[in-house]
Parts: sequence; structure tokens; C-alpha cells
Amino acid sequence: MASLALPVLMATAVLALGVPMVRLAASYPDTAPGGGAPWQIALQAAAAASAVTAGAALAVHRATALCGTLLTLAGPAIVIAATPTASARPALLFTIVLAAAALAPALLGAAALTCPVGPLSRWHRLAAAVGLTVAGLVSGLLPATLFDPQASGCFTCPANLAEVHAAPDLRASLIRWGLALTVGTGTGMAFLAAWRWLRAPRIVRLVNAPVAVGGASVALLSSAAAGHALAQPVPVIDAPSRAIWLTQCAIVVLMAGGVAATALRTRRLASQIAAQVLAATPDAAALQHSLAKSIDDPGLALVFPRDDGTVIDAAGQPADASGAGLAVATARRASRTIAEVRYRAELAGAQQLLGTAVRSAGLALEHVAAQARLRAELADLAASRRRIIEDGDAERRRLERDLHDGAQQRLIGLQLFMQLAAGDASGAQAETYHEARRIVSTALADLRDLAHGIHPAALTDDGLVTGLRTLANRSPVPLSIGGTAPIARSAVAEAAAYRLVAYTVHTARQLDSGPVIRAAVDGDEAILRVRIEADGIGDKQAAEIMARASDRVAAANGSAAVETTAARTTITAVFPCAS
Amino acid sequence: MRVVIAEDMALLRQGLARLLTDAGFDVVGGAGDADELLEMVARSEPDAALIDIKMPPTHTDEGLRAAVVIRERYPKTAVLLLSSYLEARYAEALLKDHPARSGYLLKDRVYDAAALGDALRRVSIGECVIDPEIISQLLRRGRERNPLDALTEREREILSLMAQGYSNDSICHQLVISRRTVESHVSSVFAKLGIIESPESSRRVLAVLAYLQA
Repeated sequence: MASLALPVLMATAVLALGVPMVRLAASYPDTAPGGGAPWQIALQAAAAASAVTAGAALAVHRATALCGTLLTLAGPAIVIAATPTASARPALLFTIVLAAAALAPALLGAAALTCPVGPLSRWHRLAAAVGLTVAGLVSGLLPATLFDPQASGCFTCPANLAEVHAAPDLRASLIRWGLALTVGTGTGMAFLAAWRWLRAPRIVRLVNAPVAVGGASVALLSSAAAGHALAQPVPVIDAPSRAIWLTQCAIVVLMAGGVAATALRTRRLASQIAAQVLAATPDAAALQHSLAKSIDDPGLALVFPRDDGTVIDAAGQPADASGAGLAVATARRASRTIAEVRYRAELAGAQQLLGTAVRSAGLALEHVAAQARLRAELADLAASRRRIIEDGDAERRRLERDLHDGAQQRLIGLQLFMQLAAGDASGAQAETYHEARRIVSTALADLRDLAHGIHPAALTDDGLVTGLRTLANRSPVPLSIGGTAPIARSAVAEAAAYRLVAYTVHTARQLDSGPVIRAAVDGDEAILRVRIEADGIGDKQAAEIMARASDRVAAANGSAAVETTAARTTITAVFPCAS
Repeated sequence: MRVVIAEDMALLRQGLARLLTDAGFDVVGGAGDADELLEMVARSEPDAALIDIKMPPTHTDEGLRAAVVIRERYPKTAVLLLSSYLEARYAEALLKDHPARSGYLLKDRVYDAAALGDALRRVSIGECVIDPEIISQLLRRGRERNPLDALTEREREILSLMAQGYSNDSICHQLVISRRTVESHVSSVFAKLGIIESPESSRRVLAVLAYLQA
């Protein structure tokens, strides 16, 4: 509501000052700066109303709050500037007009300087401050404090409430100084504002054109008016000064028209996006495209923050968390950030456009954000499953190695020393040693099978083809291995392919239908493919094999297809190998 | 016959040395890793080196790589690899380039002085040796259309001995049959299985191994 207080106050001021202004200008047209004809009065009143209205409309947006406020303040300042000074009554109005008559163009120039076409530098702030100071103090309040109307020959003038000490000469020279400085500040503000505006990207120029171009023009004209006044011994209201002032008022009216047109354009965009959202199932790419178009930034990115502080894109993939160097518009729902729109920082001046677009896309954005989070969670789960499988395999490898390097070697030693002891002993004792040695030999054979069951060393040492050949050499079920090892190596993919074949062999062993298995491996830099043809294996067994292998296939991001005819089951699985 | 032993487990190395000494071998050195082994072979150029495949530092295939080096640099020294894996892959890796004077024995078998001694003697006279357990596993494995069924009992026996690296001379000693009979059995086995006969016994091992694993 704070943003409304100032416009309401200013509108009240425009009315309160406007009524005497209209009356006085009509009664004393010769001394009224803008003249007293009905159209002249109407133009000035319209300019004041326009400034307040357009300023209020801009002040509600964060980006345009400052320039909107300055524009709003220009409303009463225009009314003051339109009032014939010497005829102003009562004393309070007379004093206000004395002190603030020069403010309006400076306020409009400052609004042009501060409109959001790019980062506001120290120099821009300084220029606006100097412009306002010259208009408000050097040309306004300071000479007012030195002015005694009666002493200066204006016997009909009311009292000057701001008078501190009458000093007509100092006042005259201050006024000339003020005019000289205004020539500089008006031109300076106009050029700085125009230069800033010209360098902004197209869409930003478009959105800010009314205030930037209008304000700069008014500032430039104020410099011309000051120059014209300086050229005369005593500043008077003449035809050129009146023409300049009325032109400035006309520019303000046009400026407000421009602001209204821009607002309309933004609303039209919002309704377009809203219509799109309603017309189709929200699609992240289409939504991003619409938003990108709204602000004219093809590089615009839609990202979604997650609860753990990371940031993802629409596909659920991790995105750059900081988005450094980019401007951000956020979409919120119940204090939670649903989505962030990142765009070129230079386009921040058009952020009210994007803000409107983001608000219109609200529901669709929520939908797309939920989808992205779901995708990210699925990816997390897949990664977690893969880690579990990989950790399990690593553990199995370690166990196999420990068994091989530890227990197996010691049993081999035990066997050897029992044999040596048997050679040293004789008779029944020797036979006991031989018997013990045979038990150790059996234990060794058992341990070897166990170790191979835990993990096939050939698979990790020499790759999938050798691993499968080793499996085939041990297999009681006919198993032939064809194809060549792919170029890429991926432990998790090779383990999955190996298990798929091993489970097929295991299932086939339990059948007495005389099954025969042929496995072929191939692939390239990116994928590993295994094709298993199992004669004599039916639907039911195929389902069993797939049930056992599916977790591993999925953990390796692979896909498997099963085809069963009366005589044969064919399983084809493909695994990505990219590192 | 002069032998060096490469085995990282000291107790096992000592036991092997004693077993071989008892069996009449001259054990000229024991090495704990591949570097020590190569140094020892360079110094004493033994007739044979008995090498554990897994040795420090990585316990992967140091012994296999040392055996390949020995076969390249010291033609007089035969190598016999030991490993606990009942798998043909190590034997194939060694025999691929150096079929003669090379062998692969299952480590479980080393307690058997007769089998170990026989294997060492055979590699040192130029034969190759593949553990009989590996060959019997290959003969047992499931086959889609089993051409081995077409072999007679005697032919299967001869196929197994060929696969283990025995030369025709060794086979006729083993089976106490004439050289001519062995040669005719060998020709018959090759004809029935469709293997192209290689005149050199150590080369023919590779052909038979490949056939049995196909």
C-alpha cells in the first residue's frame, strides 16, 4: 500500500494546486508561463495528470519504482510551473511557486536517467542529483530566500514566506547562475539518458522508450529554455519560452500514452502465455521458448531449485547452481521458489515484461517444475541402484581375491606339508597324512568353485568375452560364445551382460529338454550388446531369467528385450558404455 | 636338473624346494617376486623355472609376464606356471607366443612330486604342458553337436594327451603302444574333428585347445 500513498498524495496536490493554477492562468494569461487559453491550460493540466498516472503505474514495479516516483513528483511540479508567479495567492501558494517553478523538467530528466535500461552507475545518480539540486536550490529555494517582493517593486505581491534576507542583486545573479547551470544539467541529463538508452538491447529500449526518450527530450528543452532566458537582460515570459514549455507538456502527455501502450503490450503477452498454458499440456521446451520470446533472449534458461540446494534443468539434470552473471526472475508459491528464469543481465530493464510472463505461466511452471524434480529423483534412484550394484560387485571381487590370495594359498601349503610329512612317516601314520591331504584337496576344489561363484576373476581381468569363455568351459549346458569384445569397457555393463548369460545357463541346467545356448557379444565405443539364443527354453524360464537379471540390467542403464517362439528364446540386451 | 622357484609365500617356497630336492632336482634358487626371479635366471640359467602367476606387488599376473620375458631372453630355460585358477586363459596367454618349453599347472597339484617332476622334465625337453584337470574340464563341457562322441575310447585318450602337450613319443611311452599306432590314432582324431594337423606337437596343442573351447 506504501506504493499507492505517494501517487494519491501527488494526485491530491495536483488537484489542490491545479484549481488556483487554472483560475490564475485564465485571469492573467500574459504572465502565465504556458499562457491562459483554454487549450493551453488543458494541455498543462493533462501533462500534470499524465505524469502522476504514468508515474504511479511505473512505481508499483520494483525495477521502475525510482523513475516512477520521480515521474509522479513531476505532476505537481508541472502545475506549479504553469502558475503565473506574481498573481499567485495566498502567500503559501506564492512562496511554493517562487521556490519550485523550475523543478518539473529536472524531475522528468532524472526519471529518464533512472529508468531501468541498464545498471545505474554512480555517474547517472550524480547527474540526476546535480540536475535536481540546480533546479530546486540554485534556481528555486535559494533565490526565494533572498526575495522581498515589496522591496523589488511588486506591491500587489503577497508576502514571501521563504524570505530570510532581502538581497536583490545576489538574487539576480543567483537566478542567472541557475539558468547557466540549467543549460549544462539539462543537456547533460538528456545526453546521458539517451546514451544509456541507445546502448540497451532492443527489447529493453522498446519497453523503456516512453520515459527515457520523453524525459531526455524534456531535459534538453529545459536547457534550451534556460539558454533563451540567459540571452535576455531580464528573464521574461515571451513567445519562445511559452512554446518550449508547452512542447514539454505535450511530450509528457505523449510519454504517458507510451507507458500505457507498453503496459497493454505486456498484458497481451500475459494473456497469450496464459492461453498457451490452457491450450496444451505444459511442455518445458515450449514454455521456455515462450518466456525466451517474451524478453527476446534465446539463451533464457528455466531452472528449478531442489530442497538440497542444488539446481536442475527441465530434464532433471544438474544445472549450474549459481547462474553467475545472469539476471533471475523467480516464480514462487507459498514462499517456496518453484522455478527460476535466468536471462541475460543486460535485459534486466525489461524484467516487468518477463515478470508478467512468469506469473501468467504459473500453473504450467509448477507442472514443469514437478516433472523436473521427479526426473531428478528418478535419476538419483537410478544412480543409487547403480552404486549399490557396483559396491556389491567390488565387495565380491575383494572377497574372491582374499579367498584366492589367503585361504587357498594356505591350504595349498597345508596340502604340500602333509605330503612331505607323509613321506617322513611310515605305515599307518603315513596313510593318515595321505587321508588328511585328500580332505584338503577336496576343500581346495570346493573353495575354488566358491570363489568362482562369488566373482568370476576372468571377467574383471580379461573382459567379457574371456569371462564368458571361462563360463562356457565350466558349463554342462552347451554354451558357445561368439562375437568380439566391444572397444569400450564398462564394469557394470560387462557384469550385467555376464550375469544375463550366467542366469540363462543356470536356468537351462535345471531342464532336461536338452537346452543349447549361443551367446554373442558386440558393440562399439558407446554401447555393449549381448544376444542370447537359448533353444529349449520357454516363456516361463525366460521370465525367470529376466526377473533375476532386471535389476542389474536397469542399474547399468541397459535395456533388454525377450522374444520367445516354441523352440527358442532370444534375449537381446544393450548397455551404454560411455564413461 | 637345475630349477629355480618363484613363489611369494616363503613357507610354500621352502616346502616346494624340499619336495623337489627329495625328488632329485637341483633347486638353485628361490625368488619372492618377479624381479628377483629374472635376476636369478640371468645368473644361473637354470633348466626350468617354476613360477607362481600372482606375485607382489600387484598380485595379478607378474609371474606370467616374467615367464614371457624368460622365454624370450633365455631359450635354455623352460617355464612352468602355477595358479589356482582352473582356467585355460593363462595357459593360452603364455603358449600363444611361446608354445615350446612352457607349461601351466594347477597349483593344487604341486604336492604331487611325481606330477610336478614329470611336468618340469617335459617342459625342459621342449614339450608344453597343460594341466590335465583343465583338459578334462574342456572334454566334459556341454556341446551342441558333440563330434567327440564319434571318437573311440582310445582316440579320446590320445586327444586328451595331445591337449596336455604330450608329443607322439611321450604318448607311445605313456600308453605303451607303437609310434605308428599313435600316429594313425592322431591322424584319425584330426580327421574326425576336422582339425588341420600341425607337425609340431607344441603348436598342435593350441589348435586342440581352440577346438575344445569353440
